[in-house]
Amino acid sequence: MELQSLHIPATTETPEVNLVSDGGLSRIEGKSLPENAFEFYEPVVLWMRQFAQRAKAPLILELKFDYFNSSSGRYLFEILNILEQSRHKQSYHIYWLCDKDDELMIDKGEELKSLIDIPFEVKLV
Amino acid sequence: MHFNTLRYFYDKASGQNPSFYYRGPFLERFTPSILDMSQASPGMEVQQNMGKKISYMLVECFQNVIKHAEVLPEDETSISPEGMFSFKSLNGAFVINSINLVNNKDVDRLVGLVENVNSMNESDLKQYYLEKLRNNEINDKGGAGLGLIEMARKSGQKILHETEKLNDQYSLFHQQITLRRNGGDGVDYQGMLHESGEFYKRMTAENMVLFYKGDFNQKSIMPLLEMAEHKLHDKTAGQKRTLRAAHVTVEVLQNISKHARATDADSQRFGVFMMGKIDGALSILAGNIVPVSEKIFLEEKLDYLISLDHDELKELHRSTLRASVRFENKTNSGLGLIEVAQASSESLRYQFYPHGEDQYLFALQVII
Repeated sequence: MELQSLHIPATTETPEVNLVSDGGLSRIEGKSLPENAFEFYEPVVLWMRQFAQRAKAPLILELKFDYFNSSSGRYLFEILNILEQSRHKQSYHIYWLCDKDDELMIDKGEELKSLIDIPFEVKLV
Repeated sequence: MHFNTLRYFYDKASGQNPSFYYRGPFLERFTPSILDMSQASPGMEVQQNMGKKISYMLVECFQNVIKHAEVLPEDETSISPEGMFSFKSLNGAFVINSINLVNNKDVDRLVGLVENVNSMNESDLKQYYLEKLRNNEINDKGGAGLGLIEMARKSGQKILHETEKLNDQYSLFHQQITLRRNGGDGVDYQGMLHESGEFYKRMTAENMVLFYKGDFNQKSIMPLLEMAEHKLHDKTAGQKRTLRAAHVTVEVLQNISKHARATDADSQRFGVFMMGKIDGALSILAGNIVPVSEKIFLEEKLDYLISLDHDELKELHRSTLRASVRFENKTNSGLGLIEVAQASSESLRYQFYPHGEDQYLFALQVII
């Protein structure tokens, strides 16, 4: 069965999620400060697991955060970790977009990049 | 703004839940935040559906102050232009205090307006309201005086007020509106008006912006963050500090919410949060009640974090992040405090104050 795309609209506390499995551009964008990050990221984590097992096309994922809290950071790392584990059978490319003045988000991107062995670009916009 | 300030406000606000104080410019955009915060406390629902009435009164009061507050000319530096807005709930009463700058020439008119509505009974007030509505009188501040009449009608209590002359041109106008429902008898309302003035003085002297004591949940955190974020936009300090400060604020607020929940049986996530300036830097003080076992754990953890330098904190964050995925820890990744320590420009400071039997008020200070 083909993997369905996943769309979660943004709220004041959570980012917009747009994940596609057809090789198009996937994106998570906005603020992420839910108190219960597990609840919010569970469907994203699940989608990534399925993608890692079944996808036929590469995943091009843009991550652009104004801000995220520490527990969201933990789940972002988990998502990237899932992708990393299947990097030999799937193709991934992560773009971490951030404002050139946003030192905090640049640091966060650099940290994740250093922890994950998949193509990961920190792009200043 | 130090630990003794936290203690002072914490002790003074004992018996009040929630208790909120904001000192700064009155901006229209804060109205939704104040409204959200008043609705975020579970205590409100218990008070026999007072919730909706409270929200209505808060908005009226806040917007009334926006209308009447005097804006200081930029060259006037001898007095502080900041006003104060506060609400608190205690013993079945909900009390709203405001303090704002007024021009001395307007004082008599303003006091007259309040005294006039105070002299009326319910039906007089209704008559007066309808009359004003029909005549569509708008004063030079853009209001018809309807707000004050509405407050008096909904409150059913006298509006308490006090004027404090600052110099030849300006005065501070204190106002207190009370809502009572099946209670509120044993409260010293005049004393509260006086105390609100004392709080304002202390907030001004210590360059304090926000004080909140009450339940911490996502509903109360978001408006606090909204108000803090506005205050954090400091042109001189630049965007870098603003973002770091916002980051710390979120982590500190959510940390209270997380830990308070774990220790409190009645599902209230009680805590205290303060923000202000200290020697040009931002100071954030936060506190929550912890059991003895938690005290020992926190002391160890904080002392360890305090002992680490920038690079060591960075490495600890990396290893904690890696471990969090390995150990499937879904709720508490332990990253929050590390990130707070990383963002803080000085070492974290903390204090424990005994609170009842076997419990402590844990207070943490972050300087940015």
